[in-house]
Amino acid sequence: MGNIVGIDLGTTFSAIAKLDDTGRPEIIDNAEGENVTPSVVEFTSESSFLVGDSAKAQIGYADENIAHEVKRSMGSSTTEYEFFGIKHTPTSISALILKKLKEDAENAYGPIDSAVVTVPANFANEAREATQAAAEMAGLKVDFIINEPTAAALAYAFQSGKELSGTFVIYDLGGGTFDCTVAKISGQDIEILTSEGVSKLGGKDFDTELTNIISKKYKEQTGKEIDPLEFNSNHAEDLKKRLTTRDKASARISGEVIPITRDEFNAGISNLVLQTELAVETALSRLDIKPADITDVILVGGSTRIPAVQESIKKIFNKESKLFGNPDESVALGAAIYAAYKSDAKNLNPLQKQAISKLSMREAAPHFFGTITMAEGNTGQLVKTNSIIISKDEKIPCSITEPYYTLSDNQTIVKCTVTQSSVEETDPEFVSVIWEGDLEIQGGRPAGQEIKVTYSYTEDGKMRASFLDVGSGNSKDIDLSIDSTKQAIDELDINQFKVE
Amino acid sequence: MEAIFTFILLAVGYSIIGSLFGVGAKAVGAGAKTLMEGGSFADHYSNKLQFKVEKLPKDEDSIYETFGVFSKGNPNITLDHPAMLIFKLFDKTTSLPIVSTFEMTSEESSRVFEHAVSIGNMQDKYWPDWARVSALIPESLIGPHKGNRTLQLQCFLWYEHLKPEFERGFLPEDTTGGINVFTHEFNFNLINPGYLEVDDERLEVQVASIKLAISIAMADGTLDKSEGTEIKNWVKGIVDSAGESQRGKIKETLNNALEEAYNEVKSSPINIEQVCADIKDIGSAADKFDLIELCLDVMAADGEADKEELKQIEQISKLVGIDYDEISKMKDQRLIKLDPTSSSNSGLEEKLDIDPEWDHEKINKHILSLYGKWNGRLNSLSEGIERENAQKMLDLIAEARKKYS
Repeated sequence: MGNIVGIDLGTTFSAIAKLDDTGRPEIIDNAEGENVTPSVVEFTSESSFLVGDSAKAQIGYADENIAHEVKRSMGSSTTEYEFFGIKHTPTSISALILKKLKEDAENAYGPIDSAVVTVPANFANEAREATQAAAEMAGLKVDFIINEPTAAALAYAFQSGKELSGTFVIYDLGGGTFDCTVAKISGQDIEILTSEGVSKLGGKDFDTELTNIISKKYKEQTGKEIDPLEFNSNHAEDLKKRLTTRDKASARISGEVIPITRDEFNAGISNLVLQTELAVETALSRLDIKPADITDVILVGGSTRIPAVQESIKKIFNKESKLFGNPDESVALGAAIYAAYKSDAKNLNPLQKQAISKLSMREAAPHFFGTITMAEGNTGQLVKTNSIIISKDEKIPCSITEPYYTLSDNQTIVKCTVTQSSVEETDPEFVSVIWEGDLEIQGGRPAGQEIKVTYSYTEDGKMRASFLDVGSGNSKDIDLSIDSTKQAIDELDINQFKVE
Repeated sequence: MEAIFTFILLAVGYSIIGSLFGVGAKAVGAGAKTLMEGGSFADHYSNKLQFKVEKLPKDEDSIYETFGVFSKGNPNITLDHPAMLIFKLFDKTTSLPIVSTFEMTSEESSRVFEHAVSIGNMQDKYWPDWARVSALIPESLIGPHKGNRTLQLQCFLWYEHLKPEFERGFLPEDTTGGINVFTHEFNFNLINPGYLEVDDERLEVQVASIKLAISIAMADGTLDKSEGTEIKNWVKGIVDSAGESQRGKIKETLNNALEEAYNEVKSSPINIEQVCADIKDIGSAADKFDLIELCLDVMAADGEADKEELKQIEQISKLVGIDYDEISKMKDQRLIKLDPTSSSNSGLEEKLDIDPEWDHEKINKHILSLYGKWNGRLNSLSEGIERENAQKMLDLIAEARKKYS
């Protein structure tokens, strides 16, 4: 029987976990004996690379050969990296990180049968698909992806050791993204109510602010610009960690001691922290609930250790937040639980089956999905409008059908689009078109023929769309998990790389 | 070529001039059919594109009466490339171009009417029946003479990547990329006084518009070169589109207005209420949108959204009778191109449309709503300057939150 694992593919760190034989989730340490692996890849030649701590240690010294924070560009069709003359994408780099996690886990525990990979709740559809594609490139069979806060909620409900009941906020501030998810938890029954996120807000941004402060102080003190070899993102991260437990700390750069206080750091990151507060309030106001209605705040992600973040949470909810276990691990642990939950029961031993027997969960649609139509504006004229079909937070799985009508007599083609937005946006300029194509329909009929548009969002987080000409029965069915981005990256041969 | 089905049940809460012209772009694909399917194609369509202009039904809420431009037949595109239709309008008797008061249906460098519509890849495809491809709004069109005229619609079918730049209605020599040119004549009532005639009322509105534009440009105390150039280009468009015999007078009047407004604003703020009252009384809806577009262009010209400028535009739109919400799309489309943090003397309140008179609860509610809007947009925008500006807008929103929390 092979292993079923859950993987947290993070911006700065990644982790892999599985259910042990007693049905408890556990982190699988990497080959270096660490519970998390830095999501950093260093290319040492055309066909060789390093992943993890050894690659991270080279930041500042061999930046031209290093790829990191690629998660922030997942799904982007324009982001490309080139190392030793070979082009790479965020997906192919992520595949190398996943490959390292997979190989280390297999060396320790044997073959992996299938995996669940996590994504931020606010990840766009193309980023989700790119993540799945990366896993497949790494040789992992991935049938499901799960939102990171949902995985964390699972881990919390599973491991808290008490019968939970109430409305919880999962405050997930990782290395690169922030998500605030509100969930109803009753025992091991989890219902996701809503999520609000900021796609580029995390530990890396705090490191950048810290670097800015130190650079400014260094210049004031020495009149010189800082040498990146002397102070880079690794140094900033180390200093940030020291400021988590101390009121002041120092950076030693080219023989100079640059002191910094926690208050200075807090002031530098205050705008970022305020953005997390706004995201939390947006999520709560969407549900029309007040902070006092929240039973507990579950902290996820390493950046939640920052005192200013914890103070901010305390300010909003008027209660202490809870660091449950290791916030770096909870997403991977939850993903492992979900992997077992979604796997065929025959792959689990009796204790594992028993462990997940009471588990149930319902997710919510992470975005608004719509289509571009012509609608009447208040001038009375037809204007281009994004019409929402699946609303954000719709319980999934769901399937929603809306009727639309053809515009012209004898129309034979309907131009169809599938759009995605984080807010209920009517302006087509501010939505992402995630698919477009033609539906051929039967001509010779007057305008006003009904076109039924059905969007389905499946439990495994995949989106499908169908455009049906009711009169003729012609239809266009689209599986949005197969897109051009994925096809393009599939062409990249990962086997050209060998782990050193 | 985008969606071409209607969603009749929903009345959307915005009415932007630009959107009217999206109609053509969206409707082009309507009814397109491949030649492979059309057995009787040659009998019916004779290998040419036909046009007709028809009045569209008008709703009670509509600001404008609109005519649709429809086409059917075969554009005869043989190459596998995206193409476009570029429409020009001429007065048949005088052979002079029609000009437009709408920026988006004007040439880049003049006010001469031009409506360019992408039709995508139409290789070996044709329209078996009438499909709406453009729109004409009488209120926005100015010909050489007012009244019932015979107009000539010229349609230039061009490969999109080689889109030509017309010069006052005419195609420069040595232009490449053309596929075909079609013409269609029709009778049309030009309701605006012709540019060969003097329309004193319109000129009065234009003088007032210059005054307001100068007031906005100098809201920060200075008239930047870019702002002055924006106004100059606007005036030049009007002068260039005027008849030969009228040009001198219009040019002199508007140039004088520019100088007077500059001197007046330098010494004391202009009475915006009074100027706007004149425009409200005698200006057409098109004049008013044209004014707001000028004001927004002047505001954006120096790359900054100054607090006083934004405040004045809001005030002007209210005073001339245009709901500020109706121009929010026009405004957002300009703001997203500006670095919201670059304006040194702008206050958070103006940048974020916060009324300092509001109580904190209302302000915080507004901030939360802005956050939702811009964070959502950030997630939808691709990498690039607009995404960076959306991020900066979020930073400003956080600043405001800090101030009012």
